[in-house]
Amino acid sequence: MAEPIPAPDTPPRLPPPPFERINDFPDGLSPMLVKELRQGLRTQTFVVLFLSLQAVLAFLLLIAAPIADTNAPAKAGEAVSAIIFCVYALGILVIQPLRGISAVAGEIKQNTIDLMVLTRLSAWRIVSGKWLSIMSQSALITLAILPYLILRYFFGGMQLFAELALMACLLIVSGALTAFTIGMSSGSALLRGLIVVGGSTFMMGYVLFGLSQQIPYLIEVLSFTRSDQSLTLLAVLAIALYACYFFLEIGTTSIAPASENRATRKRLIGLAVMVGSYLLLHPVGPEPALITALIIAGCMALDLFSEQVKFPSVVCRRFVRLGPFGRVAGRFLYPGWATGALFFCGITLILFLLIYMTNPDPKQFSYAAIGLGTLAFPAALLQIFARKSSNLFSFYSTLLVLCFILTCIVFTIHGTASGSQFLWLFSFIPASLLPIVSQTSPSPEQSTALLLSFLVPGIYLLFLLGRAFSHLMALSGMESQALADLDEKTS
Amino acid sequence: MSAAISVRLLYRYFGTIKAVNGISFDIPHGSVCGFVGANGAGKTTTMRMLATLDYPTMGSAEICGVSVVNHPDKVRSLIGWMPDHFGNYEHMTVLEYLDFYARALGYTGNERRSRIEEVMAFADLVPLADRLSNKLSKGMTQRLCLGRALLHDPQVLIMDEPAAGLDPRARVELKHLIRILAEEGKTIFISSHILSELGEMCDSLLFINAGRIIHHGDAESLKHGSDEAGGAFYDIQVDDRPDSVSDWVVLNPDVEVIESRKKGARIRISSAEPAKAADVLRKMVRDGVRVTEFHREERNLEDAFIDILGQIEQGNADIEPSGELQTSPPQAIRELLENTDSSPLQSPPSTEPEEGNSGGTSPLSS
Repeated sequence: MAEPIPAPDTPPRLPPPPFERINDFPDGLSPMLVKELRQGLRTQTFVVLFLSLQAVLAFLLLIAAPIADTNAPAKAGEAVSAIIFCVYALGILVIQPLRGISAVAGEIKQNTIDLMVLTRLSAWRIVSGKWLSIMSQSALITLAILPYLILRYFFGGMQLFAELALMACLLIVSGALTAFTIGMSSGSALLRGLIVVGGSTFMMGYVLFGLSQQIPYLIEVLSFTRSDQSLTLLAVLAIALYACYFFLEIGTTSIAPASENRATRKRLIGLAVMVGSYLLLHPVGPEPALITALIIAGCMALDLFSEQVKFPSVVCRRFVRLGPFGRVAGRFLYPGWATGALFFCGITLILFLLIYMTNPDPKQFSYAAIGLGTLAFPAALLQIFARKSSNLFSFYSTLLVLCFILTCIVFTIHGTASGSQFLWLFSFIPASLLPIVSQTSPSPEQSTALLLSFLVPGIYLLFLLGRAFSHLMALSGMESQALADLDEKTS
Repeated sequence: MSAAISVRLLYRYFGTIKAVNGISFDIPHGSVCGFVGANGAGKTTTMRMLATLDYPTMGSAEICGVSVVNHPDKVRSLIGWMPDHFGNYEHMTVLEYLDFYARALGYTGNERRSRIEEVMAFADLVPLADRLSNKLSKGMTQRLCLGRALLHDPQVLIMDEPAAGLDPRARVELKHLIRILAEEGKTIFISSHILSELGEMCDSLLFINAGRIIHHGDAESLKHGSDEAGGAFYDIQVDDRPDSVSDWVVLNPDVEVIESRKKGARIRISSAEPAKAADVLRKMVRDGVRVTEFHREERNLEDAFIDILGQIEQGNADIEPSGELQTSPPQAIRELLENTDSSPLQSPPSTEPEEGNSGGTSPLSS
């Protein structure tokens, strides 16, 4: 029998704690970004997506190379480009943005948001950190795909700069979509479900059947040979960047303390982008300019009509310091749907003024009124049926989506049936008047539609202002309180 | 010197629900105070207000002399908060979890590393450094949460039900850590349903019921009885019919039968003074009750809590020792309630929001 091993004099040396590992990211990076990257790079979604893209693209090039040797190499190259862009777009326009859909909701559900609020992280840093993390991973995917695009150069017929620019543009659009899902992730489960199912189906359909057809055109646009196309592209990029900011602000607002006024900045930036993009795009044509302005107004409306109306008087301090001018500005810029309704009326007037200055065609005014009225309609419904809801944002977004779907159905039925009687039935949704208003030949029917296109939105706006009246009156009391606090602080 | 935690006439109403209804109390520096109450009594709401995660409808609360309403940012550097439930992150190790919070608290470089090392050593987390934070047992998770709460070395720890769901061993470990922190001079405000544990580690106990403080005193006086706690308890055995005690008590208003027993009864004498007990005994013997045993009983804290609740229901106890509680909300509160719709009152904190991190709670988390 073997002799027992004598006990050592000193206990066995344990491996040192892995403290060095916490220096894997520099101190200068946002803590939120570090956290999200550490988690995100380990998720199966990212790893599987990253490896699948590599496998698919490597396989594709292996097949394409022999074909290109025998047949027309330029044709094979174009096909390879289209496939690379489709696969890439599926990754960064569908899968990556969907990863943001539970970003804020997850933190709230897990009760970890309180723990973060108690640190030095602001709500904006929390939300933007989540966005940056997903975008970093999207950028990583982009970098990983670049070699395949360069390899495709050897097939010939490639416009290298334009194709790289297209890749960058898709990345920017991916940023906007990711911001959209992160912003919406504070909404209700129903809304998130709609986005996951409806949004991903729509985007997947667009990538597979729309984008793949548009790639040659997009590459032509990105060659920057025509000034109007370049302006359009700039406007689209401006909208995408604004969408990034706007939807990240939506997410931020949902977790920020009530004493933090985020409404003023959001509204002023939105207004500036709307006016800027309208003026930028007007040389291209009045319709693209108006559509762009209405899209931005739509983004703003999501927030304007759904902000909680209560906020602490501390928010008023900066305005009351400016005297009567500040108080008037406050009526448009304080948080809450009541001031939001007033601000929306301001947007309407500014858009009409822009049209008047650039292209005073009655139809343009009518289109603007129809667009803005369609945005005001769900807000009016909200004030009738769900005024006291704690999640006005989800309600408004859902109603707006339902209005959009209903309008599409009405247009489809109108397209198959003769006559416009059917459209009049749905004139409570101003957008349903569009086919009549846009008729080329003037008719009594069109005149009525033009009249209605101003009347119906006007009624909605008046109704909203009526509902907002008591809240707007109550602002004076809050301003007095803020003034008293300021006096107390000074004394 | 001001108290570590000072609360004055604090109210928190959610619509018409009076979650916290005008409470006042002080907790001195370096003490451990247990916060006891049934579910829905207002414990968590009070603690969230102290942790700057919720606004009071009215009233004031200060941590180390700093108002939680006016200066939430300063208060946040003074407190460590352990919520009753929280989730851990997926795909993140214990070390990375602490590193994230250390970064979020503004620590950099070697200071960050040393803070993490310190709390990991204190909470015995070093062996768990590489474990995923969402795969820990409840006890380990609570140690991790304690480590996180201690990262910035706060003066006051607010712990909401930290022992809930822990096995006996984990409870002992947590109790041990809390005692060490108390010895280091930290003020600890801790809520729990397990009163016996609170009794062992707390210097004082604060009972809350339906949003109002019903008792604030030390655990010893509750166990042995005090005038404030409603008197003292005695076990009496007689060499006679057991009912003879009850019959005698009917004629003596200072004494109450709490429980009839096989050979006598458990009684409460309204005063905890020993002289009063001697008087009662003398009178019993003089009146012919054949007393064979008469000794003071130690109550457990659950009984004490139930007794106090019973007294409140009978309406014969002062609700708040300090006497500062008002039986109905002040006029200002009533006006506020009349003017509100149905949503929680958003009391205006008079703090100026600072860039980066401003006061108050997130609307969704409250």
